[in-house]
Amino acid sequence: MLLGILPPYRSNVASDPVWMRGFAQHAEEVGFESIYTVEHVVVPADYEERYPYSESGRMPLANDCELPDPLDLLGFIAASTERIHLATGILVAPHHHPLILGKRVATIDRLSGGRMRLGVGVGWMREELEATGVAFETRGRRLDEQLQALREIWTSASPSFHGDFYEFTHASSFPKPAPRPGGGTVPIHIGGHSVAAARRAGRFGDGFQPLGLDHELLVKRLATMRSAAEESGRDHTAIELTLGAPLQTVDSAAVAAAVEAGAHRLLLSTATADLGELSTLMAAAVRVGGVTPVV
Amino acid sequence: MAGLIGNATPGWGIQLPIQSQSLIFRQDWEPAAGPLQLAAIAKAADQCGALYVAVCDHIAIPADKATTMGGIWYDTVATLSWLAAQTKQVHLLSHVLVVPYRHPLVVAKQFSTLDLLSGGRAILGVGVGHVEGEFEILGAEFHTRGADLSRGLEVIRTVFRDGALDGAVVEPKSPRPDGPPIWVGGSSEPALRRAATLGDGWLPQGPPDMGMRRAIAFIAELRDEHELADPFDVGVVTEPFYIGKAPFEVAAGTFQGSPQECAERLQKYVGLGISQCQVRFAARDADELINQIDQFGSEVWPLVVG
Repeated sequence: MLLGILPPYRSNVASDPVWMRGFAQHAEEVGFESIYTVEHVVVPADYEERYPYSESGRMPLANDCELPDPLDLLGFIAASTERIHLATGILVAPHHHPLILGKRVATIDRLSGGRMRLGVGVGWMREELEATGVAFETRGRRLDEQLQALREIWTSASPSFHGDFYEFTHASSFPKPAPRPGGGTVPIHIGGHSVAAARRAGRFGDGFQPLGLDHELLVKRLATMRSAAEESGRDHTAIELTLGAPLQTVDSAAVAAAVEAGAHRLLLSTATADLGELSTLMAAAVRVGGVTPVV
Repeated sequence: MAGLIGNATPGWGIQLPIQSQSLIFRQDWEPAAGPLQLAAIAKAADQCGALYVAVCDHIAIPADKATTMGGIWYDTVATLSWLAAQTKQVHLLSHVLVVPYRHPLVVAKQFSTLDLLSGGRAILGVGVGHVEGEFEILGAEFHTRGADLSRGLEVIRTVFRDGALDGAVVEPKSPRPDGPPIWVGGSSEPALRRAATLGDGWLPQGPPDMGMRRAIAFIAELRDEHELADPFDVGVVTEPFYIGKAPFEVAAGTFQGSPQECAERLQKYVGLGISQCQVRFAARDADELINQIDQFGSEVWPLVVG
């Protein structure tokens, strides 16, 4: 089982350079495969849209929680580490033009020697998307276009794309992401809980990161993801599944359950900024996780 | 909101090579160089007393510019954040970020993040952009770019100061009460006006039509008129230098000479009343460039400001 780790955003340490460097370096040292960042460009004070991953409908972060830019934070971590993969989990893609997003990701991938992985979602907070001028109803269609456009930008010497939201012809964009040993480019994982997210992962994703689903719904979404992959002539077993668990409580039973569910990776969330306590917990997680070290 | 230097002792900075490889101005060695050399050059500037290192901004080069501007352009803030982790004192400047390509809330979040990660070393250099085809590619409006930049700067300033805009929270805040200083780029009269009234500094892009001396006075008059008394950073971009006699053919307009001669040449700029000089160096590879930076920091600049 691969292990990813998310910094304790609630503790407001994610933009503290000394803290983050120590955390990232420790994660790398004990054998975590990846470190994750998340995104909210803005958090409207009185958002009406329900947070889909808690019963209260409010997200578990205070409105004034520090959420640094997820990609620029990964750029900083890239220079502080050598092997650990750098992932967003997830980035709210409709905020960003695919050429701008593509350039940012390709640059970090180059600077980090090919360690970047892009996890994207449509976002759930209407007010947040509207704050950057995105009509909430267009977010799914935008993401579908972005996924195709990003791969075009990363692989073509002279990228062109013609969609309803994004349109460009022969737009030169260098650097490209770093070449990968087995070919391919920066992997894109799809995050979300909906049928649409599962279908999108099956059709376009290199991975699927379902968020906040109970066992029964997870089984349903994975079936949707697999059938969407088959309909598109894709091998669903090649689509990496990332499931979440709290670092605090992860044990061999939790790992076994994730294996049973078909997960390739467990993304562990953290709830303390005490680096000493985190170190102990991270080392223990690696022991139960049976981590494949990053080469 | 205030500049970094104002009338205090001027500093020097460089636009980094490798990250922007316009076919017009890149040097022959740059295409084969990569992140390793880029980091080494930035670290050298950091250790040799540079005020800033700068990274450009182009997202996508349209077909009609491919033979001139085609080539590698690293992402601005990703590169600066990566360099923040590898440097200690040097400021990290976008020269210049084309704000109208982006939503200003995203720009504000990016620069607050960079400012935190670098311990308060970010400088937001902004401009309106000039490549019409690039605007088209991005679905951005070319003809309103000046007004879009002005409006964008208001949003960015508000977010830097309040960590919020219209009830929407944009955290984290920069570690500085007013956020990173904003230097406005461009040499047209509207750019000068925008720099004087909305900026904490001015970054010329080549000599302005009215001449440097007149432009600096123009900005000072505008700031007086608007009762803006905070320190303001006037910049100048110099010709390329080679300290010593170059054992290779340098680009036309390159100034070569002893440290003393280079310093005298630079005093002409400093004498205009500027706060910072952006210099560049002729070199055949990263090592030679690092040598030039080292010599400049230790032997030339002390003579200029001594």
